[in-house]
Amino acid sequence: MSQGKSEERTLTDNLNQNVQLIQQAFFHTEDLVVESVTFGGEEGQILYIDSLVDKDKVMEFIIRPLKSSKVKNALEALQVSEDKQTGTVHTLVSELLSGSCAFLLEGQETAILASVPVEEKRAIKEPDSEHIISGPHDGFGESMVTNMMLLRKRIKAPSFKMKKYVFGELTDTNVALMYIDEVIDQKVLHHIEEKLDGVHLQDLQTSTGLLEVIQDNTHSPFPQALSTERPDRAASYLLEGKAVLIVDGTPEVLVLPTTFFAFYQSVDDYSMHWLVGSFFRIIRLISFLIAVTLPAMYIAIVSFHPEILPLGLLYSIRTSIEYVPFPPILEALLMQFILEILKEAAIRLPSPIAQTIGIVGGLVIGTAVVEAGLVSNTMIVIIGLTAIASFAAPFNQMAVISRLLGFVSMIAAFLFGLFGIAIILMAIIIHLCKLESFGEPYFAPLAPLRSNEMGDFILRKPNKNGTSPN
Amino acid sequence: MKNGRLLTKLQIYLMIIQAQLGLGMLSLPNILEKQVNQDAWISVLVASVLVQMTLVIYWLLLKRFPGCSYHELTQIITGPFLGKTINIVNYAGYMIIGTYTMILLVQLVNDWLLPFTPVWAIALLIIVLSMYLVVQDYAVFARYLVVLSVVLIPVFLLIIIALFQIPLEPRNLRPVGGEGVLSIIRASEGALFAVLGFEILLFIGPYVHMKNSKLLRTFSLANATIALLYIVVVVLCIMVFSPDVLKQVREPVLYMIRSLSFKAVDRIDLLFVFIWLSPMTASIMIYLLIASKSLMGEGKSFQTTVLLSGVIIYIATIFSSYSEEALQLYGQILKYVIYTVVFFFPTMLLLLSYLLKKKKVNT
Amino acid sequence: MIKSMFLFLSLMLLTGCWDQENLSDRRLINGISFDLSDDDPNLIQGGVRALNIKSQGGGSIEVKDELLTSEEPTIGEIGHEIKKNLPGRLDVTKTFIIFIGDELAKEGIDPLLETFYRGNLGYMPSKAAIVKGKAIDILSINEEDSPIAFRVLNGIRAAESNTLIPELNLFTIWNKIGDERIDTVLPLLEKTNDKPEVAGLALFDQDKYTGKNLDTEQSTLLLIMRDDLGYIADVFIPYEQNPEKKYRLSIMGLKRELDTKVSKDDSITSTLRLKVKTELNANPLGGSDLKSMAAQAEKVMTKRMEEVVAILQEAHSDPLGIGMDVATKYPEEWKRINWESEYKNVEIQLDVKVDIEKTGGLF
Repeated sequence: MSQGKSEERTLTDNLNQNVQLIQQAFFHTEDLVVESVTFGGEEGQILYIDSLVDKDKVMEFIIRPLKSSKVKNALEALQVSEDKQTGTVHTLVSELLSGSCAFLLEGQETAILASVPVEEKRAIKEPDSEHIISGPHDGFGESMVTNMMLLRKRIKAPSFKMKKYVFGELTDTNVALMYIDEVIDQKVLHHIEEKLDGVHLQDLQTSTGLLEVIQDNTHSPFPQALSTERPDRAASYLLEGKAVLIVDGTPEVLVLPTTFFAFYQSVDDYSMHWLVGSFFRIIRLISFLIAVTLPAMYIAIVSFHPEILPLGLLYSIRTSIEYVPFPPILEALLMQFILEILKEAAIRLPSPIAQTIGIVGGLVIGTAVVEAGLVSNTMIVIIGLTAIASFAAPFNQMAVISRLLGFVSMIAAFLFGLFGIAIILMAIIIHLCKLESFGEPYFAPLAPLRSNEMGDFILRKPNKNGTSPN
Repeated sequence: MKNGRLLTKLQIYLMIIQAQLGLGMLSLPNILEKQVNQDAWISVLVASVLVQMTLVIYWLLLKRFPGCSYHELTQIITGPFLGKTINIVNYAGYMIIGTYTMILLVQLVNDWLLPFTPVWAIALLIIVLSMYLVVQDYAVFARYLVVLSVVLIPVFLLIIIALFQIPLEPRNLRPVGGEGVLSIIRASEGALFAVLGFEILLFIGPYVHMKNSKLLRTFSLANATIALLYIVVVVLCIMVFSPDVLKQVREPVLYMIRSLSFKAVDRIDLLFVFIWLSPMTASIMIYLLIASKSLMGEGKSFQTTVLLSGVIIYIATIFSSYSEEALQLYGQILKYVIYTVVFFFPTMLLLLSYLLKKKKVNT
Repeated sequence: MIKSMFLFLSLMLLTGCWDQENLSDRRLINGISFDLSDDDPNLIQGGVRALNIKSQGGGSIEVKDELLTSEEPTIGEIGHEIKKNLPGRLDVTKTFIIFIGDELAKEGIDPLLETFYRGNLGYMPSKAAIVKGKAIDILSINEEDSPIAFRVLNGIRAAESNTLIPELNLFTIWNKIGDERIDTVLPLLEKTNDKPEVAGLALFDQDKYTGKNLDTEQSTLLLIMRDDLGYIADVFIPYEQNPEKKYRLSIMGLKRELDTKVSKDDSITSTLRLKVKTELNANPLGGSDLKSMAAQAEKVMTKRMEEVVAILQEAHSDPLGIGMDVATKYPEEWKRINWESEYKNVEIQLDVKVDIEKTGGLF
């Protein structure tokens, strides 16, 4: 932005000089439109940036009223809801950049600003990354205002507050911090606000970008805020006393503080019978364990402690790896690697091609690799199971992390067998115990143990926070 | 003091249980059988009564000096100079117990899981992990111990399975009390090492805030749970093994599990060691924690102490693991260390505090 | 932080994995046999059957066995010798059957089995059996064929569930051969028509084979006396009128009571009370008087059991655990008594009650 001199500059009473000043501030960009209008006999200029304003609105609410107006005061003549006056070039420039239209009049030292932004609206649709079976199917979009609307529609409490921040010296991104004042823990809120107040960013484009600056522990692999595209999920966390950060321009909304177990809860748990919901939660948690430990366990057992296997299984594994030239760790790494490549390739491609890739990659390569004696078929089973288990996590963030940790524990298993896995698991648990998300323990309610929160933890107990006349 | 760091009743209960469980359990039946044959379980009972008495002493200290950590109250009672001396002795004592536990753990891992992996590598992993946890201080430590309680589930399952799968010989338990009261009490000394770990309670002061009677009840309940678990395990071992065999086997509990076999898994003992590794390392972590705590209270200096102490334990472990004499020396010192640090000092401090009428002044 | 982690990891990766071993480098051993050498009575002839995997091409794999033998004075040396001839490491972790020749068993089986107990690799649930003649003969049956031991093992399991032999494994045998108060019995195998066959039970005195056996019918009776039934237990009773023909009683329930008394002059009387509930399963002559059939069964069983007891006392084998009873009920007397010589003089009284409760679908 045009810093330095223009910051102190103010408008003069000379119209032409003023226009030049502004054009200078914009480095004579060609999409800065300057149109002449006469108002009350005086000559005036209307300035706006071509791509940022709605031209119909400019015509209808600014130019036409100005031309036909009989009032002396230009402010009264304009028919827009948001208008103001400014005398500094700096404010003028930043307003123009956010979709305002400026009206300069000969002999006036202030410009009138009217907000007529172009509103590009995307239909509200269900996010692709967080599908559910039953429950609402709307999702957040790119516009902060729409996102706020989606939340406001769900929570009509007057204590539902919003605080606005602007980050990024180049991007000037709006960020909204929303919370329900009477539910949120003030200590947590204070912690979050403190963090946000200290933020200085060159640019801000994604919510992850913001999270990485404000989270307590940057090196931890675990995400310390839950990012969701589902308004129902965000709303339910708001009601639990969490805060929500909406970054303008991204559909991902951050929920903070969060816990490890929140990543394994899905909103459909609450739309289903509580027994079913609890069942799926347990399945998801087990799938996390499988994703982290299964290949490691296989490696540890096959290359350190084969005696753990019962006879029949041992003989069949023994025969299946007889002619595989690699140690199990290499087999596993190879297969995991192929799998990740397949996944990456499938994401980028349009879905019909992606399906083909899936079939060619999964079926053809899978069978061929076993027949060629590169990888044993037990290993294919193990890796397949692991991959599926990792995708069972409702949040992609966690799915990736669990696979990454799987790699770490595989290496530990390769070096130290079961002992290595035990050490890695203990390290993960210690890390989780130690980790805090915005001042709140990450592994709660297990560590620290909070028995009153156990009802909605692994099990989803039936809703009891209400009564019915019965 | 931050509000969130206070421990609840359940947390304290699970914490004590985790603190007492560990390496000792695996070889407990063997150690006791050598001395009192079929009456081994009575010795466990006696030991747990002794522990209960000690717990009462600890509780009285905590009650008299609420919100105080052990290393502070030594100085309050005996004055700064003597208090610091006691703290240093305590530090040395806890370090010795911790190192001894470490040596045994490394040996166990070598015996059961990794016969050829050198001591330095195993010990390095354990000590790095321990330091990583202990540096985080008490609150995180307590959280971790509570999470570890999950490992109790497989233990209970295995005990139940063993009850039904292995032929038991109840006659091995008879005659009850045939070894004489004196030798039973003397043997309970051997059980003490297995139930050790509750010293962590001396340092619990700044992290609890509850009615004193409730605190004592929690202590006693945890102690009773451990006593029950150990008695069941010891009785089971006596019934499963013949006396001669039990005297030969170093880790009877593991051998008992080793004889089980299922359609889907063989050698459950290895999986059991895998699970049991976490309570066993937790014992080392406890000693590392309380050793560092008895020198430094909190903050940066505490963290440096932890790291230094960890390195000391590591070096001591490596040196003594390679020489049989050092290990024996440790075994001999250990007894006196336990008596001094765990029983004598707290009792003496309590008596002194009554005699000198010292109490914590307003908090 | 990152740097130190990197250093740590590379240290571990570079120094290597000490215990890691490829599964395909292991030679899995199915079965082992021990015999007295023909040439030199001081040597033990050992044989192992190792798994031998051969590729047939085209991805199909054939699993076969390979027999290796060696003669050395001790078990350890046999293993060492066999290792020389075999690529890969010998793996006894899944050796699920051990055959011992009868001549060698008379010298004691403890030194043969000890190595399986001591090491971390021995497989506790594996079976041991005594072979009439040479053990290697059974081990070498169908040498080229798929894992032999599967077949023998299944035979032994079937015999266990039919109450021909007790359910045993290395662990339970260990606990009995080390206990002077009770003796073990081992299944006795025989090679007939190139097939292994369970011939009954071999009686042991401590860890030494006495040379006396029970046939399969007597084995079932011994197991009834021990209350050690498998899934099915059948006894065949001759008709009173026509002793050539027999009817079959399946045992449904059993109550056993062993009551041993030591009188003042150290003479021991032991009463074994058995209450047997049975089901009439085969009645070829169609006898209909259940009462008299039960009475006949009582008479016959008592008589046969007395024979069994006589054999036991003659062989100086105490699988009933009378010694255990004396030792636990009369610990003082037990210390005085010389059990070695006294066992023969124990008066064992039998009191058998048979009830026929069910008669199947027919009356």
